[in-house]
Amino acid sequence: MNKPSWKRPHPHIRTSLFVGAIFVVALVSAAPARSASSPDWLTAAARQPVPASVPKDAVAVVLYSEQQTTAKPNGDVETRYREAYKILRPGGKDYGTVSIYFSKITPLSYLKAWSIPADGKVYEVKDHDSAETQLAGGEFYDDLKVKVLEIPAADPGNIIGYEYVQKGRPYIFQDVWDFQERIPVLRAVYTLQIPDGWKYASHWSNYNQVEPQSSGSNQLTWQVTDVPAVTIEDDMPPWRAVAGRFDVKYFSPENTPQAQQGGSWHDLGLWYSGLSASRRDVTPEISAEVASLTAQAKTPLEKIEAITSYMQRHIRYVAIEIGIGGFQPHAAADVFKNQYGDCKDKATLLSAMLKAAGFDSYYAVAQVDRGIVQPEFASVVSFNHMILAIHLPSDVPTQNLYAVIDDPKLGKLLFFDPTDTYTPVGYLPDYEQSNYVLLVAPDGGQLVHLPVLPPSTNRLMRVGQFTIDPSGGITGNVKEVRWGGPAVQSRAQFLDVEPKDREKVIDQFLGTFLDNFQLQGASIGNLTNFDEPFTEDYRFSAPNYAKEAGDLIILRPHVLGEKSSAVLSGAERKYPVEYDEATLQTDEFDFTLPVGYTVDELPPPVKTDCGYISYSSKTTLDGNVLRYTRTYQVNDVMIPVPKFKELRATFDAIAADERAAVVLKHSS
Amino acid sequence: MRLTNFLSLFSGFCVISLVLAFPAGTPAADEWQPINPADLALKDNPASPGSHAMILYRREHTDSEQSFVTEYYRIKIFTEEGKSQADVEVPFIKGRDHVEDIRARTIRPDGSIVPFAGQVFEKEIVKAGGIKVLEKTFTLPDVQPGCIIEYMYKLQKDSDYYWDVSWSVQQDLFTRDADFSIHAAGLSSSSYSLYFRSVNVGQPVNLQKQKNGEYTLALHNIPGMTDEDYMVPKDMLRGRVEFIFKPDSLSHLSKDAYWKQMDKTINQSVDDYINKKNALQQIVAATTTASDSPETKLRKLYARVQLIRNLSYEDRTTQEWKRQKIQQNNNVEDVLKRNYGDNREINDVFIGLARAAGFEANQVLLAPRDEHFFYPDFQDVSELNDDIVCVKLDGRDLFLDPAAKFYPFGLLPWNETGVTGLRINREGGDFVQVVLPRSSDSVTERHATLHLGEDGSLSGTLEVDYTGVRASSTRQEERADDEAGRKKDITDEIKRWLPSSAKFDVTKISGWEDSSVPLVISGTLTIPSYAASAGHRLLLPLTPFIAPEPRSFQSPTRVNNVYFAVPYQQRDDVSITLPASYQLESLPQNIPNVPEGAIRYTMLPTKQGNILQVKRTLDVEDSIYPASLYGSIRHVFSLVKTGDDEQAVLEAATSAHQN
Repeated sequence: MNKPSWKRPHPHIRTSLFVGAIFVVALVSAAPARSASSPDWLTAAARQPVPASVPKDAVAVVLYSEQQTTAKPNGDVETRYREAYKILRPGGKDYGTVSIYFSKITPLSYLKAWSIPADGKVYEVKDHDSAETQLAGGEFYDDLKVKVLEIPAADPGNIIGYEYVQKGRPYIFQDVWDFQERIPVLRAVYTLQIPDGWKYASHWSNYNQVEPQSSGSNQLTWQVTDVPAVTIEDDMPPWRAVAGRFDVKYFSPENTPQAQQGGSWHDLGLWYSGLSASRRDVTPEISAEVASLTAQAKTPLEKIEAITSYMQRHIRYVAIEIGIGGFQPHAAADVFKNQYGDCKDKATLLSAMLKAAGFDSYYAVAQVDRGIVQPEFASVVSFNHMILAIHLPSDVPTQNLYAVIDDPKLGKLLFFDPTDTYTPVGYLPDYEQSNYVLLVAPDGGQLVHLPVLPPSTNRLMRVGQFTIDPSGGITGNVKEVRWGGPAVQSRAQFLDVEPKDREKVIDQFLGTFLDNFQLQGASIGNLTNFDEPFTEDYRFSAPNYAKEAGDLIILRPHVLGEKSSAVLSGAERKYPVEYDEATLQTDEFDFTLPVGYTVDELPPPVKTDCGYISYSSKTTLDGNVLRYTRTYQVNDVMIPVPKFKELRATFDAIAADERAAVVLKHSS
Repeated sequence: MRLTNFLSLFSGFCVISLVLAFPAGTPAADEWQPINPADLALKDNPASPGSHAMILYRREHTDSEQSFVTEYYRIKIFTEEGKSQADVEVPFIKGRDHVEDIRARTIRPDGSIVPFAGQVFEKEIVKAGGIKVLEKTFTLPDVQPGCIIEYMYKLQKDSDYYWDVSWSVQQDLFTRDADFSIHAAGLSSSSYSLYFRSVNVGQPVNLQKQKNGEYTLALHNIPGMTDEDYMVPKDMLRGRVEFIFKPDSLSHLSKDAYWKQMDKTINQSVDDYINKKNALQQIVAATTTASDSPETKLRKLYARVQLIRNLSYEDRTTQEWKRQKIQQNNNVEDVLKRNYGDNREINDVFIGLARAAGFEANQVLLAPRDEHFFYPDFQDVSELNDDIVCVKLDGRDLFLDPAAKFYPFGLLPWNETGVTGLRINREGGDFVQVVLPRSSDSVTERHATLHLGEDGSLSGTLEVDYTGVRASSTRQEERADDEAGRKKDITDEIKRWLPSSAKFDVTKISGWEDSSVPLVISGTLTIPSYAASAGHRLLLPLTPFIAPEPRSFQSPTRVNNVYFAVPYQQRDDVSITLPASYQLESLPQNIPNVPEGAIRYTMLPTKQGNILQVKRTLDVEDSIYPASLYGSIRHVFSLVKTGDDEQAVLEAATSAHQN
């Protein structure tokens, strides 16, 4: 049996765990409890009263936040961070757990934290009191680490603070000052000290620009005060995309890589082009594989599809990022040999394979959240992903390729994400639509806005035929056909589970809408044939679906699927509503009435359109067949705040329609 | 501490005593196994079709003499998704363990071999308090469906390792063949015997003694772990074989003798700890009166003990404890004088007070069933890491846990119920069954007084009463939060029972501190468009509450037993005043009630004037239901969903009049 040495004590050993821990620590440290004092900056921050304007539900408030960056002529950079919080409610205790990220190129040279309880006796904790882990990045292996420090007495009424310093020579000379938080910030200060001759450029996002104060030679300070908290709303963009942020890049004009990083999108492209030079070289092995893959391809597009499909399904996503490896891809030859890589690696191998097949392509550096990349400010740290732009020969038909743009200089470019396992060539994953990429060409970069794919490309068509028995049960078949986003979602659902459990996915879906049902059979089509629409056919019976009421049968004709959204029921809205993608979805359900029954009442047709979302439905009777049809269309992915009330009214109408019922009456 | 572990003994269902001083052996896991062409051609797992991957073969060898383990895995990949098996992580503790001799390779479907020549990374899982847990990570190359991957490594541990041996027999993947072996020679003393036990392996575990003294075990067709809702925590279910080295001085002990010996040691410890008669009697005298009935006395002492600050509930850093000058309590007098203690210390104070008041009171050690189960046959006292108190009252055994904050007299936290415990006493101890609470000991009552608008909207008041375990556990979960935080948590919880468009605002919560009364939440409820229109009719759902359970039992099949933490009841009383412009046309007939059985459900709508009254009950009477009964459970909850979704039909009054 496992009996690790930290196992809980035997029942008759009386030393309790925490008391034991105290003595262990006391023995190990062999030092008296530290009688600490807080640093001046924290003491000063602690004196600051919390203004009445701070909302009563705030769990804590940032009294003071400071970030000081000092760059030296040799490229060394030291950044000092200071944070002071007042805990206002028990929920604010979490702010006493501090996570600090660092790596070999940004090592920590100083870390301390303090707590000032009501009695004024200061606690102090240091670096060696922290726990450390390398599981912060979520990659298979990278050199990012995090220190976690538990600050004592992070209780309501108390002040906590911490300070740390990172020193190193970074690859990227840029800071992101995230001064707006989920709690109010009373004062935040950013200071930049750069060597003589260096330049800087800055940008404010989601906040009015603040002019810097000069606080010394080449030293500038920006300050914001009374910054409200970002409040979380349903279906809002990622909160960091709407929070106030200050980006600043600094560079020596004489240092080419720095100057390129600090320059325009064009310059950034040059920098990345240099960094990734020779990574896409074609080897004989790659050429041989391409020849094999494309042997049966009759057209250029078929060749491209053969290669992109191979890349999506055969090359495993494994991210190994060490040092500059966060930006620089592995060589295509290595990725091909290992048959694994991260997004940059997959784009690199894909580019090399396309080159072997005669197609040019360009890196497209991407960001998976909308609203982070600011077109006015060229910034390499705004990105976190990599896809590829494939140059299409002019004779390639593009009518079924929805991720194509016509670049005046580079020609027709087909954007493709080799990391996304389920989105086929011609489509774009939803998070890349209406988002920016940095297109990297040998002679420079440019920022490109990728389009929202039209609703008709993300299509769900559901058709059902049912018979109603006199006791209200229904039996029938449903066929679903999905293209684009809805197909991607279904494939992900079915492929993630083991094949033996796939029927459970359908069970789970039906169980969302039906009380008591039996799935009588199901099949899925084109599960891994990504270039074709995904199909689902299933047959079920639901004995209690329609309700008997005397000589009436009450039938809700909207049997399956939910388009309504109750999450938008709040009264006020501060941030836009964000959808994944534009989509067109239709339902068509036919019901054969039981013998002896006729329709007593039909729900009224519904037609509503707020511009961003349109919806219509109707229920009709044709002989003894009742037909319910509806169309739901989302036209855009970002719905501005002023449209919120109309959007809500649309969803109210949809919700009412989804609950509406047909009344059948026995004709006797 | 180590001595404590030595004393943790096993016998289990199958106990094998091994002769010590086996000849030293080396593992045979240094060569790849030959590849069976049939395995390369395999397209699916014939024993469990439809898998992403399966373990074709696994070998684990444990050498307790030299303190190492060797592992060998051969895994067949069937699907793209199964390729994730190629990412391998081997955790170890730096300074104590070393991972050595990592070898790996990929065998393509055509039989060609790609040896692993990549980098093995060392990843820091956690470094804290002088302990560094790392993992060796590597990923195999060129892995595609149809491939076989295999890898092996040696985990060299420190010399104490032979006290810490187990085989995790069941993996997440199905295992076709597995060989396990243990070499247990060369202990520093010759006075130990090796014992093992098997837990949840699901097939006979017959260790075979080999000529070289090793013990081997061959297993086949071991199912992978299956995740399901309402199941016992996965780690408690995982099939495993565990070993213990038992001193020969104790190995002759029968199960009864073992527990008697444990009882004797622990009883002495308890007696020593509470041996402060004067201090205890003073408290008894100050707390009770001679005229109190025995039960009243006990209740008063229970209430007195619950006033002691329970440090087990406080989440403090070491520095804070030191600052507060928290000291170790050496006896009950210390606890009373300082007015703080941990769970066990507080319960021991209660034992002392009860005894001082003339009651027979004893410690009961048990295994909390949210962590692990207790198997008395296994003779492992360390499993009993929780305690309650048994008091004899009017000839009955009464189980109490006064250290459990917010639990009133007579009520235990759910994880201390439905388990077997060891009652510590001077007679050598005995096993007692701490019964499950009845479902009526954990009740949620919902009283809704609502008005239906002509537009189908519903509004009114909702009062939710938690009683028993339900109330106590809520109080305990929310103990650290403030009023606003509690209000938010409770609101979020209640909103989960309601349609997503519902708005619920808490107006008052009472009973947070007083565990003798229900925890009562009052608030206002609005549900826009609650009733659906059907021409001149309105379809009115009988209850606004949505039961979460049925969604977890959609699947027609089930592998694991169904596990509810605690039996419980829901009692709903919903009254809906109908709008004057509508009248009730029909109430649903034949609502599928389940009046009998281990899970009961009733739904009774009636009309009184223009008020629709709905009474609903759900009574889950047990905690564990065998998987063999799953069909019945699924059926009952499908009836619950059917009943809950029933609707009344209202007809517009004018229309009805015309009819």
